[in-house]
Amino acid sequence: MLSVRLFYRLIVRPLLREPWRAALTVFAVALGVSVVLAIELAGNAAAGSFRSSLETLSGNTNLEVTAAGGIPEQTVATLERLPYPIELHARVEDYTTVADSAQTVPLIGLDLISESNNDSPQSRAFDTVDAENALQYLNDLNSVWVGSRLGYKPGDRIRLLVNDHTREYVVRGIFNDQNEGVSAIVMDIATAQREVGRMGRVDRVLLKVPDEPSIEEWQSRIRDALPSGIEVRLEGSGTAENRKMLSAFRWNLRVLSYVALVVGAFLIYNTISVSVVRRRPEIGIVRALGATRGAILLAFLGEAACFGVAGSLLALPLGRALASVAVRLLSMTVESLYVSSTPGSAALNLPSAILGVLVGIAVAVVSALSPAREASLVSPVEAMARARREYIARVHKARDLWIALAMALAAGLASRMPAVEGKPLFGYLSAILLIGASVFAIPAFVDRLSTLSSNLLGRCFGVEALLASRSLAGSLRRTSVLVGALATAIAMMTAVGIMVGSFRQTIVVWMNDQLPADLYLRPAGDESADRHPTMSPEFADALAKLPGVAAVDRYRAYEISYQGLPATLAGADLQVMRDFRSSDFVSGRAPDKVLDEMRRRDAAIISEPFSNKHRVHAGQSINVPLGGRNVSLRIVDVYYDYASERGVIVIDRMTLLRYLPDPAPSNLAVYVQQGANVDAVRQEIEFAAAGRNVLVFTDRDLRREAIRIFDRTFAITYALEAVAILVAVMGIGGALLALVIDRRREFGLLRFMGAATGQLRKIILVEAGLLGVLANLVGLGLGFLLSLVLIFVINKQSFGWTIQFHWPVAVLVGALSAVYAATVVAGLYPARLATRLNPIEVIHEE
Amino acid sequence: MAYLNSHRVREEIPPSPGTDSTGSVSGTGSFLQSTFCIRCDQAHKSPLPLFEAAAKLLRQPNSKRNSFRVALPDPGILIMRTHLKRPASSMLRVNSETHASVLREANNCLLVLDKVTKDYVTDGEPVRALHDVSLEVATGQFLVLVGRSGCGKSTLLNLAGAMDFPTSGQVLVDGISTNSLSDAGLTQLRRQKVGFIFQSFQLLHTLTVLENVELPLLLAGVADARPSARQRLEWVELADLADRYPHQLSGGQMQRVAIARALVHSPRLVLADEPTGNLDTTTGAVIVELLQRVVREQKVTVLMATHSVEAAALADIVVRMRDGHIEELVQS
Ligand SMILES: Nc1ncnc2c1ncn2[C@@H]1O[C@H](COP(=O)(O)OP(=O)(O)OP(=O)(O)O)[C@@H](O)[C@H]1O
Ligand SMILES: [Mg+2]
Repeated sequence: MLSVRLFYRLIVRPLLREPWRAALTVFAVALGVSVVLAIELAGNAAAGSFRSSLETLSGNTNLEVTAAGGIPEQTVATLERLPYPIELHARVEDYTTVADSAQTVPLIGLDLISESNNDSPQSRAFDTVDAENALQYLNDLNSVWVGSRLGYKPGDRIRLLVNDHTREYVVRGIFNDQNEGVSAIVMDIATAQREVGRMGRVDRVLLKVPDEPSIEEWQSRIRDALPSGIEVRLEGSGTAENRKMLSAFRWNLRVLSYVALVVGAFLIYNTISVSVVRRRPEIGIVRALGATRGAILLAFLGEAACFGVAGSLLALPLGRALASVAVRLLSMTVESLYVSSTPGSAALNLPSAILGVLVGIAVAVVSALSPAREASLVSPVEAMARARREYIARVHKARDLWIALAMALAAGLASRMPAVEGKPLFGYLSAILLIGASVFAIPAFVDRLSTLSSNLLGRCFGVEALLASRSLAGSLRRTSVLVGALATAIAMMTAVGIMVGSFRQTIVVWMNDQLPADLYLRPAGDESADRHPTMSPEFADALAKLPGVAAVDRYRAYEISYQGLPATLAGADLQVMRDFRSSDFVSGRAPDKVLDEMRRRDAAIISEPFSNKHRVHAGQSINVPLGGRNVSLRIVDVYYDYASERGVIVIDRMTLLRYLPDPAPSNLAVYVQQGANVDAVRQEIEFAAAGRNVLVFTDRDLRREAIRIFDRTFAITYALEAVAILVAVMGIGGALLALVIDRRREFGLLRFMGAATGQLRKIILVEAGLLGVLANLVGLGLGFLLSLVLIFVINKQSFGWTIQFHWPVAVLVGALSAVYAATVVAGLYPARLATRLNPIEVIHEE
Repeated sequence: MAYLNSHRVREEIPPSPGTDSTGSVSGTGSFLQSTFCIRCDQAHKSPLPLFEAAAKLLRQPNSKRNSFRVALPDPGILIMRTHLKRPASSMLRVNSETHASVLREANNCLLVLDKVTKDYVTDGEPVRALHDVSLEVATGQFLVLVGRSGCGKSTLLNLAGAMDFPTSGQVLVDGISTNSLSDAGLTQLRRQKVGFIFQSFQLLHTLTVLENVELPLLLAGVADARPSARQRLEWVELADLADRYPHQLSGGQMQRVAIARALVHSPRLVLADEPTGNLDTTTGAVIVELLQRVVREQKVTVLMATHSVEAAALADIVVRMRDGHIEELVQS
């Protein structure tokens, strides 16, 4: 009973007196939590639980057989002949674009004859409508079965773009979609092989083995029966691999999403500190009346928890709304950088909601611990103090500076540590330590700077600036917390800004070297990192004979799995390959030498992310399953590659053809003869490509496209920064409001001394401006250090890219000025409040 | 105030032979016109000095009037309404100066309260803090307000210091009616004419002693405030503590700093609300003596509210208040 009354008297009543400030704090918490929640929900939805879209229609199989470049049909036959009771589904898997709706969906080739023998409900969906026509349907190479969500009826015509050609097919039947949100197109496996150009091979064989003996036993039995380059693994391993591949991306995003919450924590700390400082006399009174230390502690923690609960509850709908925006951005990123996958809906589920609320409350309570403890230490004697004592915050500047130094050193050490299971845990630690170091260094910094500058400010900007800077130095603790909150937000913005800017600049420079050919061709259709549609080899041959064409470089990519992670295996024409320059290789060797070592040999160059992910370097060998054989490739060199985070292995096209004799290229680079007109050659090519769905790009188009994808990818990081800044600015607004209320006597006095209302307004605005300047200075410095950690530790360990440092001056200047302006704007309402105080009333207040 | 016999008067009013007169000028301003009330308190009630004052008002170089009307509802009161070519707000300061110069010649009253009533509204209930108070204080007088707690001393000081408007009646500070002024005008008036001293010293703890003393000058936009501030600190014998912070001073020292601050802009009126309330008797006596010196040496009018009998004994005039009105006025 006592504690309830205590809580009411110490906490609830004062809060009700200042609804605006309470609302600001709640909203700041809500924003912080909602961002975390939104990223969590959107991350789940965008990657569609990281299931590759190709997992559709897989039934309840439990093993899968794969091989880089496809499984030869003989192997399927071997499997069929095994003396085991296993169910077997061979599949051709690719993507197709529905020409009318431009929607890209999985194209699955199933052996419809054998499927019809299986008695699973899923197989039955492909039963031909009337058995009499079955043979005809299967013989007609234009039969497709279409997922119900695409909205076709049996008998409809459908135009599909597969690789570089578009054909018309007839819908023979409709089946129910599986795999949430993904509709597929099914063909008979023979038709599919022909359509996607994979004669004699299938992409995957799904197996259903009996429960006895164990699945591992089955796995090894089957592996033993197959040639060495064929992999037998648990069905759904691809999903696990995707998840693993995406985990670093999600991790970093998640960490970024917590920044706003950290900023929110500063603000809770500040709000509770203000509460404690203001209510010291009251605390003294209730202590004198018999309240225990614990009760006081609980009361203030309770206040923080209230903010936490209210904020988190508000965050649930807010986070849900933000998630649906974020999911669109994220899914585009996932698609263009990682894996084809259909975004789910960003639904709010119970675990996420609970997580959000718990995180909100935890952050609130933890950040209130220190001020609440301080409140519990107020002695009952303070109740007797006659006038309200000016509270001079105990700030141990010198001690804090030493702590800051120690933390900075530790940050330096942590940044030298290697990644833990592919996660840059020490990198994050280093970043956190740096932020901590700056937080501890801020009081000394603020004190120094405001002491040094206050007279100067007074001289340049008048007595208002003098008063403002003195007030900031006078309440050092509050100022430090505010500067810390805003500086952290600014630092993260600066760091991410520098990182993204450096990355962008690195890519721009790299691409200038990287795209030496004049024209580039690829099959039409959406691009995705794991899709490699091909063009017909005759087309490539025809191109080489066109007038004005000097050379055609064929490039063929396969989706493979290397040591549990997806990767790309590519074959490139070394005869004409001029793609490389010495600056492209990590070793800095001349490309001629490197390429000579690769020519016609089992030798490869690997991309930098591949090298970092799998810790393999020049001189070592890697085993890659190729066309039913395990091939050992010697690594000749590592090259810089910023096009994809997935690792890439490049070998000579001749070598590749030896193992996978499929001459169809996925990309072509055309070199125009010297003196020939590129536009004229382009027209020739387009003419030659008539009837095929091939896209022709100039190097400039490709660069522009790459930068567009890049900017889209990082849009979400900017959005996260913006929210963190918003939270910090709201905090500044709330704190200035508190400051006006706490210093109302001073403002009243100034009116007595002849201050005009405009001068009071100027004091508050100058104070807001000074906070902005201090936070910008600290934030810029800290942001620079953080950007080094981001670029050279976290990014390197998560994604494996070497990024050249670069100052994105225009972006930073723009962002910092915007933040500065927002800070000053946040002072407008408190300033108005200051001018509306009645000086006579406030000057006599105790 | 309705006016009867309204005449049109031309500007060339012949200056009348110098008559000794005391009176007051008050005015209200609106966009294109302002109304002045010139009052003569002299017994002979001749309108001549009134016209003389009005003529002086009109002869001010800055006041570009094109017409005015005058009414004489009583031989001792002249009401004049002028039409201005310029907006009133920019004129008013000029007008105030004009009144002042007019009145300073005619009357050496620094502070006039004319039938002043002040009501506060608390929870919808009006509370009458001052009721029909009239008071005139001449330049260089030391006036002490005494009376029970709640009798309206602080209210009177706040009205006198142009911190608040009376509910009815008028307050004239150095001849300027506070009713006629906007908020900016009031601020200007305080900057030039009024200094405040408080019971709880009210020094800014973030500023040094010297900076506290400088403050009124700095707020008024005076560029080089330091010499005046030092001079005042020397005057209160605290020059050697100039660079300390308030919390490093004793109560008496703080109040002396506050006095130096109240004087730094050479005000004509210093208002002190229980300046000894937080001090022991001896220190309090030192402060009151200091205020007495202020009156004598600086020709400043001091109004002090106090509960201390010893302090009251040193005053030129003691005003005893009770329930919002003046009970007794003792001139020593
Ligand atoms: N802001 C206000 N709102 C409402 N009533 C007020 C206000 N200020 C003063 N009063 C009332 O006006 C009356 C006069 O108050 P005032 O402060 O002038 O008294 P005082 O003589 O200065 O008393 P003290 O000696 O205690 O300082 C009191 O009844 C007081 O309650
Ligand atoms: Mg009083």
